[in-house]
Amino acid sequence: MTEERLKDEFYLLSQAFSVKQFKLTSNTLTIALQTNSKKIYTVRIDLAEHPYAVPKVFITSPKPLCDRLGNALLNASHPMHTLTGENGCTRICHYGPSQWHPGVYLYQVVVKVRIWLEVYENHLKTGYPLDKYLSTAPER
Amino acid sequence: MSFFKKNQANDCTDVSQVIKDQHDGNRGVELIMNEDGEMVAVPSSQVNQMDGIKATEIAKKDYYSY
Repeated sequence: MTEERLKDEFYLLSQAFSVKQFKLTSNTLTIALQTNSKKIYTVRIDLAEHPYAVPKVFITSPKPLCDRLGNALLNASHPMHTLTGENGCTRICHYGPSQWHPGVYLYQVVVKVRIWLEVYENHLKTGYPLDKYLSTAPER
Repeated sequence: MSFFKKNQANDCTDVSQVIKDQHDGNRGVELIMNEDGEMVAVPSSQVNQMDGIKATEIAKKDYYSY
């Protein structure tokens, strides 16, 4: 990521989130997100190929996330909108490759993660899978 | 739904339902992430009067499967 892009990303993130919430480097964005229920999650976004490829998004705390039945969300799952986890961390789906372009900024990814977390908490409460609420792009 | 009976709703089920409704074409309620980081559902008529990130357009982007 160029220095200029890094500055733009920081500026846009700071407009949407408190600068105390996140740490941004050219390789990684780490951000703490609090849901409406006041639970706090830590999210890491790998930026190795950003902005030219869809960044990997991991929930690093709690580690791993579990579904309503207590099973770790470490496998790719269409209903739960997850990908195969790494290092014990749940990896979540957000933008698809065909939707992704370098004009997508990290704050937009984080807002999608924030929404994913609300729908995840609804899953814990109701048992409904995430794909009941989050529509799916046609690609794989 | 409860948010039709009050100006704002922030329960995770309300928020989830708003996202589904948006995908289904219901534009009566929008999502706002306010300055406290709270995701709230508000009637569309009030969106322009509120500060915060207008999350509806971002929420409507499809999630991919795997």
